[in-house]
Amino acid sequence: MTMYLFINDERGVLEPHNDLFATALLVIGFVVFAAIMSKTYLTYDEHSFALENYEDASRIAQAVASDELLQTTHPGVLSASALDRISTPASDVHVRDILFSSFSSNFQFSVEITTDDGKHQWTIEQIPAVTSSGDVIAASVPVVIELNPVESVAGILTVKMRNRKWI
Amino acid sequence: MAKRCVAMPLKNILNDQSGWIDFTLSKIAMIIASVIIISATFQLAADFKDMGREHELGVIALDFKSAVGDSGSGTFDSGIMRTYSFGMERFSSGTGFYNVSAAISGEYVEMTATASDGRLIHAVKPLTLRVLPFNESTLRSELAGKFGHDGTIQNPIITDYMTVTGFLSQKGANKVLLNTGMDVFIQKTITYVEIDSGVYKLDYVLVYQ
Repeated sequence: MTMYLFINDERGVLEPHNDLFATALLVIGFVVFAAIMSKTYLTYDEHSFALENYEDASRIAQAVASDELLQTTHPGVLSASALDRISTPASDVHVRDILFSSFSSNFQFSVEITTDDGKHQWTIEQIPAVTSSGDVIAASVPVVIELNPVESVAGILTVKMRNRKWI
Repeated sequence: MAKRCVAMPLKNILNDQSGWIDFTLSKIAMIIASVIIISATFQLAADFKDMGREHELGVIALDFKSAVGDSGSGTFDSGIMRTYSFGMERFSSGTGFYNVSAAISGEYVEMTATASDGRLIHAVKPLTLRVLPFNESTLRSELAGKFGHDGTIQNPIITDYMTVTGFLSQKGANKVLLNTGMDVFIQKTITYVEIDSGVYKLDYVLVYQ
């Protein structure tokens, strides 16, 4: 009954405003569409930068793990005594600074080395320490650490850096 | 008299019950809104296309940056030279840009291209390792000129390593243009610095043509 009255209403009260309603709906739809597209792009962009930074962190982790400053006479094996000297607080600041001097100043990062059994942990930090805010990107590589001439254990070397955006 | 002439049409409009004014105004508003939405849609599409081009250019810059990073991150020994080709033919089909040029400094890689609409687009990627945009002989002569020692293992520099890294950062700060049609040489090199506690190595990656 109501529908019948609505269809047969000849007074034309609503008719002049139909266009405005339709246009308003179109504008709202477009704004929502543009907002969704922008949000999608920003999310993609953020993930893209995060991936690039992860690749950088991974490259730095490999470079640190293969650095001669940290290795024993056996290639590929990290020396616990060398780690003791440069881990925070460092007793040999020259070696620590030279380790970080191989990398561009574009990246500020810290290095954590942990044995798989969790008994030993070393943290090597840049001076000045990383203070900027932002998400942390971390990349790890497996390493072997020589605790003493008769004992070597497996561990993980992790590089942590801040997620930075470039053009 | 003049007032009457103006007042009469206004009175007619106000008393007009046929709805023409309402109809006309709503149609004009709709036309204006449609024009704005259509132009905004086209602008949005054009902006996304531009961003896509910048990303494609960024891919080329990232490829070059990865080549430089891989050469210096322990995979290659010092002294071994690696060649890199931009291989622009890999990227030229349907990218919507041309006149691609590359530049490198001690801190970043920059790619510049002209988009099909004539606008310049850029992509900049930070380098992971310390890079110097010149060859080994230039490096050795610069070090010998400044410190009296060229930094080879036979002739290490006898000074604080911070002075050496500061000097080389300054030398590598200016960007050098690279010809994308020619091969780029990438070489890891070591500069030896002697301080009180011993001789230390400073790793650098040289990038030049």
